[in-house]
Amino acid sequence: MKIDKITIQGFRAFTGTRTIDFTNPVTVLYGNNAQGKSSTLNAIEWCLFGDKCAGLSTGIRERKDWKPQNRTRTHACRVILTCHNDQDTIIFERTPKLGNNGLIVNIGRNVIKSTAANMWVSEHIGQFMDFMAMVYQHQENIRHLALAEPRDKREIINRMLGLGEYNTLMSAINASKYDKWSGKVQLSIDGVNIRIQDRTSSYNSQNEEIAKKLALNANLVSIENARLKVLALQKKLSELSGEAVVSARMGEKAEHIETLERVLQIKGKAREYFIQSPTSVRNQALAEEIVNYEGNLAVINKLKLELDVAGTKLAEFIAQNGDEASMKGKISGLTEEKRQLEARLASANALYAAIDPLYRYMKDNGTGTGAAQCPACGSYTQDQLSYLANKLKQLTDTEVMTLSQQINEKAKEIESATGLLNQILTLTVREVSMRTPYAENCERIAKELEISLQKGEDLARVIGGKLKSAKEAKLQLEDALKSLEPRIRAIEDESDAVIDYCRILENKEHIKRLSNVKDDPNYKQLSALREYAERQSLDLEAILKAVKAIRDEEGAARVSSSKESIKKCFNRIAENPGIVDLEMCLEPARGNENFLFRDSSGDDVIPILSQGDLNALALSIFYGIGESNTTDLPFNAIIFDDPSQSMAKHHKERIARLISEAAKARQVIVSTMDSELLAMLKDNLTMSMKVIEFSGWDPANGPDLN
Amino acid sequence: MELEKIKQKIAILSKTRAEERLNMFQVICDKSEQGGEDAVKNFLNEMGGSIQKTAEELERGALNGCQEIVTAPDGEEGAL
Repeated sequence: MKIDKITIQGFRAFTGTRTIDFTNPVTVLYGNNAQGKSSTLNAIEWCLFGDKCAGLSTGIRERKDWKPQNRTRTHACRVILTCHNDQDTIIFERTPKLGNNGLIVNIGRNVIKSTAANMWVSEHIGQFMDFMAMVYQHQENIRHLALAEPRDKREIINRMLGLGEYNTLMSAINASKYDKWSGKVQLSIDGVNIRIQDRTSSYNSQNEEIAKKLALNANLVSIENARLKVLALQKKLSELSGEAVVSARMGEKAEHIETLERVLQIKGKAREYFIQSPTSVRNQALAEEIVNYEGNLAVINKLKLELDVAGTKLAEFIAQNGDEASMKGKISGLTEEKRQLEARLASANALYAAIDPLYRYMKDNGTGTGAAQCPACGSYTQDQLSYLANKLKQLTDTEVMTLSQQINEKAKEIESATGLLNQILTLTVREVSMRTPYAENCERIAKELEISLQKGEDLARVIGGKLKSAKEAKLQLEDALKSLEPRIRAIEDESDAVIDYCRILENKEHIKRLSNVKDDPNYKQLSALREYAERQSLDLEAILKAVKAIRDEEGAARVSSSKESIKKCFNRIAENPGIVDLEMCLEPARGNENFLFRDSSGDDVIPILSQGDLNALALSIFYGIGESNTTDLPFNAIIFDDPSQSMAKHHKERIARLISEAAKARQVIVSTMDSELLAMLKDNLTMSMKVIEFSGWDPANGPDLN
Repeated sequence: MELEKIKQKIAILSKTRAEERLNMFQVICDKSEQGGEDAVKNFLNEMGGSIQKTAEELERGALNGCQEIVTAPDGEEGAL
């Protein structure tokens, strides 16, 4: 099959519509970068293979986020590729609609669409990877072979050998980590097993502890024994209480649970009997009575004590100071004495007031000296003036002073007696105020305790008598209860032991159920799932082995069939005197995953190749594989995309000769920006060549073609 | 890719389950045809994920079916 022409619309660099003719044996797309040359070549492969030539799975890094539609969207994306074989003209028309199924193939009058069209391409043209290996030499393959790391280099060569799809498939299967699938299921199974083991171990430990406490062998514990123990407890309680004790059935429960609940019932009933027996009830009532008596007695005693203290204080005070009446009499007497003294003081003062002016007169007028009669009182004295002077002195120094002192003393005595009287009155009031609450409380308490007091009977004494009687009665009851308590306690202790006994049975049931988890449908399904996962893993492993085996076979076959062509081609392009007899082979030591390029001495030549020689090698691999399979190629064309990159002039001349030779057997399309190569092609080609110059790029229409 | 050769190889390598493996390979090829490497990866990841998810659900189911595992002997709730 050969290409006649291609019509490109709205694809990549093509904003408008352009048709390019490929009917010449050699077509050269010539022009600078970003003019649409690569888009023209991309259009050929996209028209045939659609989305398969997009994305990183192609192994071409430039194809990441690769979209066919031109971004301006002024024209819908459409590529029509017209080809022919010996019988028919075949027209491929692809649009990016319907996912990858926007392909129509017209073969004569037959029209094949969508999935069927894609299948037709697969069947008659082959896979994209084969196309890339033998028809379309991508410039990235050459560019990267020189620069790539060993692993990437291997991938590039694989791709050039058309083995990329095998590796992609193997990589996708390996990425699933299928070999871990059954391990993950096993982790779940282990998780369940560990929990069962952990819980079983805990229950066993618990049983050992209980058995040790009960001094018995946990293995000999049985439900029959538990039942017998319960019956024995029932009998004991019946004998004690004098009533038949029958624990109620719990319904449809497991035997050990029912037995356990029966024991709990018996234990509860024993304590209930102890609490509700007449002795206990009376004992409790007496305890309450005693508390009541003691409380009331405390109230009465407190009030009585306060009353007694007040009375005693009053009596003692009276005994010491006299009562209220005597104190009032004393105050009255003292007041009268004071009044008399005050009268005498007033007389003395009046006499002084009378004598003093007279004395002053006589003294001032020079009278009274010598014997004379007092003009005031008529008494006769030898020295009247001295007499008056002495008289005045006697009044002031003795009489007035003495009387004043006596009056003051009386006032103090009155004040003291008044203070004592006030104290008597205060103590009397307090004593009276104590008497009322005491009487009221006694009345209330007597009423509450239903005590009828005889005249003169003391309530506190009556209550004290009752309290004593109650305490004596309680002591008697407590003696009776003391003999009952140990019997109840014994039943309770035995009940506890039977409860522990039943716990062992219960734990055994737990352990039994834990062991039954492995019969659970979910657990069984887990085992089945693990087997399923193992099968799936083995299936994928077998598929992987098969893919690898065929890849190795195919790789070996292609290497084998191509190595002579590759060597020949390399020698023609590179003409490196340091490399004689280049041989390409697979490296069995690395599971045929790696390629070796050896010279006649068996040494790896890659490390000594220049970049130009590496490019020559890449071109040789591509060309050699294609040339060695020319007869089998469904697409009898070869597309070189920038084949002379990084090459010296002598390389380019040899490439031109190589292309000329290739054109004898296959349709050749060359994309280049290299004017030197173009000139050499013109000089060396023996076939007719058409040069389409990409001279510019217009946003409205895309590439300018000449 | 030489699909027929791979299928023959799978058949040769498989003493048992050849049919199942061929079917699985066909599914993988179909996925690859429809969506490339990513589709194959998604398909196998879903298969592996489904196995793991089912395993976790069954594990939970097996544990939940036994109260003795949910409730520890000391009476406390056990973490599942």
